[in-house]
Amino acid sequence: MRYLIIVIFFSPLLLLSQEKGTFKVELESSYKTFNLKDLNGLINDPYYTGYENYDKVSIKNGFSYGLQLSYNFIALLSLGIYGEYQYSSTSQKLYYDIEYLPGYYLQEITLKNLNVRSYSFGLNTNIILNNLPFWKNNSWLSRIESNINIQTGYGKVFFSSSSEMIPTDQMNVHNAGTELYNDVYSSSGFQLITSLKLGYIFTQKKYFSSMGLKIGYQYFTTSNIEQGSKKKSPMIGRETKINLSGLTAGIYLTFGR
Amino acid sequence: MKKIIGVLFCVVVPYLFYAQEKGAVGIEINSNLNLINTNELNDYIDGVISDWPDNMTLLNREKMTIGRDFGLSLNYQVASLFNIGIYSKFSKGQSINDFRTIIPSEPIMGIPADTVYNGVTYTMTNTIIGIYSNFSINNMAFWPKENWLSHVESKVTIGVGYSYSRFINSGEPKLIKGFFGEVNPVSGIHLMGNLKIGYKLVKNPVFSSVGIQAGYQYLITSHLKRESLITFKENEAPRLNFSGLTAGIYLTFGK
Repeated sequence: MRYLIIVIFFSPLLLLSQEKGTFKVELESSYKTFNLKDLNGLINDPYYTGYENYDKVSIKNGFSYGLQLSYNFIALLSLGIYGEYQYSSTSQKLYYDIEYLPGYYLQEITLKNLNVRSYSFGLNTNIILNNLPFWKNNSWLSRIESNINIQTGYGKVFFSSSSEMIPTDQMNVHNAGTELYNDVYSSSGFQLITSLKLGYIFTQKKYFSSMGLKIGYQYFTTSNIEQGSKKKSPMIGRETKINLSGLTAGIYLTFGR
Repeated sequence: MKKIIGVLFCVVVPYLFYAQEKGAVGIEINSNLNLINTNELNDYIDGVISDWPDNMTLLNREKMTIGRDFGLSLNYQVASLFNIGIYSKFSKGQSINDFRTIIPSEPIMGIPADTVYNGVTYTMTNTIIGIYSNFSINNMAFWPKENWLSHVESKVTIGVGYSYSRFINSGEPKLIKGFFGEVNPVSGIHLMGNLKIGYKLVKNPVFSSVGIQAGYQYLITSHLKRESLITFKENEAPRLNFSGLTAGIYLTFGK
């Protein structure tokens, strides 16, 4: 039954085989919202920070940069591969009062740089709506590109933190290299991105080139973050999954032949 | 000066007449082994190790002599003999060293009670992006068009790029699993030159080829940051040197 539905759904599309054989390279950049509830809970946990007094911070969004390579096997469908890099960061100040004389305090401030980055790759498919007959028959639509883009792959995520002492009015500090130390945890998971692309076709004769906007949703939840071969957790008794799922919106540039 | 321009004109113009197959768009994936020249870094690490306290003993010292890289390039054939494009490359070299630390305590039967075995891993990574050009020898007039050689391609590649490099000092050898350690970021200019010899699997309507390449790359970064805890000899912070011979395989696809 499942195969019958697939055949019924795709057969009309296969009959519309035109302009097949186009090889495309696509560059894209997007703004993404993330759902990092676990991670934001961790970085604001006093047991994790090791301080009683600190700024409450959170990572809610970030940017991605991607490359897609695809080939149009039929007019309405292209298949290919993609790679994507996502990044988001924030910084957090941690305060510590040092009693240097009875009743007299100096405040030491540590700046913690926190970032999440992911590297993912996989397969991508474009359902090319602008190759449908009704679209091509409308002259005013002929320069408009519209695709449904589905990307499915595997991603590796890293959560990294580094600290540095910052000078204050009361205290001039020498870092002694502390800012070079990184505490890096990793995890991995399945990624699925579905987007709608709308663009303008600059040329489509010998070469194909277009530029436009894409909006969609990303599902990307990983396992608990761990460190090293001993699978050290950032905090004993606390599970921290990285959830980069959320809305995406960005621009793309395509070039092909 | 006029003579130089005249010579260049005579050399370049005949090639431009061979403008065939231009306009092709291609991608290339490659992987190489690099013989790297890290004497400066290795000597420096040796110096750091020699300054270890007496209770730390080096058991195994592995020097960084070989690196590996993976690259992805996009190019456009501006003329039959030339294409230009952008390349990206990730390269890595690593040395794993083992040492023993004896923590002072009361000996038992003459044997120290607290002996800890540890490893320290030094890793050098380079993320490179740049521009490059391939000169297609197989598109020159003398290259046979009809016999078996017509399926053989030969290219000379030159490229120049910028490297964002890192020196990582950690106890964890598999950095992809996460680590705690010192990350010292530096940068440098990357230059490369390769000779490629490959076999054309498909020519029309798409083209694809696979082959081997060998050449030389130059990459020397700025000095490591002196704040680094490994570089406590402040005036001797070393540079990372990834220069040396390279050899590997490549796969192209395009239309």
